[in-house]
Amino acid sequence: MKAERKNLLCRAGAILFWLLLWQLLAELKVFAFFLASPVAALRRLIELATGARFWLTLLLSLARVIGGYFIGATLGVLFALLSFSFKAARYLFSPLVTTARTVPVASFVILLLFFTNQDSLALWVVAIICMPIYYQRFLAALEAQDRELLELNRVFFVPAANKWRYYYSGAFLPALDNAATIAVGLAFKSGVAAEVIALARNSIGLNLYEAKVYLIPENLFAWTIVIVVLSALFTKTMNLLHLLLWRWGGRHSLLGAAINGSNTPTGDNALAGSNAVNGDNALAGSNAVNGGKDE
Amino acid sequence: MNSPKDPIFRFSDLTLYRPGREEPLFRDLSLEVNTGDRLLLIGPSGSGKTTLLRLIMGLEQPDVGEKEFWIPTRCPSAAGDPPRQLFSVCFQEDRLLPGLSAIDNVNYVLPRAERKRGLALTTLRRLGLSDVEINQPVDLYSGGMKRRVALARALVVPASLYMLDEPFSGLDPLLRDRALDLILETAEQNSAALIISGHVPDLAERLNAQVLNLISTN
Repeated sequence: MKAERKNLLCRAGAILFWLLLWQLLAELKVFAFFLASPVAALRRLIELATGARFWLTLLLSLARVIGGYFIGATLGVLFALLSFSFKAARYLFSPLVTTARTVPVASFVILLLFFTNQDSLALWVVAIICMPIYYQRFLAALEAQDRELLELNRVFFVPAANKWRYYYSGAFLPALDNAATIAVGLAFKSGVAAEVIALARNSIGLNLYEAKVYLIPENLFAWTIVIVVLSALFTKTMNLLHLLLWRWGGRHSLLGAAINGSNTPTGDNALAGSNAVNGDNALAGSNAVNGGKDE
Repeated sequence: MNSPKDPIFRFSDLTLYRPGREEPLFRDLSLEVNTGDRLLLIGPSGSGKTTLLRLIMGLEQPDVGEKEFWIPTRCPSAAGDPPRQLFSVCFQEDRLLPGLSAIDNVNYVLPRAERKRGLALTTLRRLGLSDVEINQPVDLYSGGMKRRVALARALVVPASLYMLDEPFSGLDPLLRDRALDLILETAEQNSAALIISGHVPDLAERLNAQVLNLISTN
């Protein structure tokens, strides 16, 4: 407890240090007037928050990012399930996932602008960014399933409700939580970048662009704070949702502690599973049966 | 042997090869099990005790031979009772869901309606687990405690055949006796056959069982 408090104080101290340095650099006008102080940025943010347009902008950008995130996550999970079930699907999706992972966001934005309008572009860009993250993590979790437990499910005809609550939650939530933690941050970054390039109406991206065009650094920093806060809040919301499902699945341990184990296809469980199937008996060699009554 | 003696399954001339081995693990194995039968599988490590149980479960398939089952894998019971299974199993490995308590692990295999009856709790208590232990995550359990949870999970399911692969490993003689009493009682109540593997002194006499001795040819 004492160590935790010390850790918390150290972290708060570090944040304070950077804020004070930021304030100092702004006061000294080291970067001319391009660097707004944190106080000025916060003041501007409060001013913006009093207008209805701010909330409309926030809502529309949030809808694009979160909508795209869920589309990407759903596609990633669906493609992973298909790849896990059919070898042909794995070959089919592999180049798609590699492309989505490696092609720069800007390239996608320009390409998609030919097919979609400026307002919905961010939605599709975010989906493309999130899909491979969910695909890879979920596919790894599917492959790392404990074969012994799968046999148990089969032999005992475990009811579907029990499997969803107790088995699937344990097998997949750590991977989904890990994917969410990574994907949400990238979703906000790529989503806003797409809005900037596409100049989407009533968007955070457009406000950032205008801050640059009209040289209003306070606006740039105020909207950046908004993006960071929204991203952090949505990440925590997803983490909390996963944690609640984890607890509902009868587990009291921390979800984070399970992430490392579940995401490695060669983890303990996977090894245990393969030993069970190809274990002692596979090594046993040939044997003969001598059945006889021996009471 | 108990009556009645309705047939459960029959294996005829099964042969099973293992990958990379020229000699088969089983050659021309024939076996018939009826309700009320008690069968004790013994043999050295690697002689195929677990594999034989896996063949019965359908988790392994023979290369040659026939398998016949006279009882459906799963059939509905009287109103209010859970569906009766052809077999229930205590695997050689505990196969418990990590992070869950003992009671959740046992209830895992039961339909929702059946969980309310408290059969899991009663069974775990009879196997010597305290109420505090029953609600703890199984990750904190010793090997013997985990074994009892795995055994309890097998015994709460109504079945025509109970297959218990080394169910007493890690149990002291006192707990082993309690477990054996419960196993026999469960088999009796369900008019079920019992196949147990493992080396326990006097087990054949206690079970009044036929002994199937698997011999390694290596």
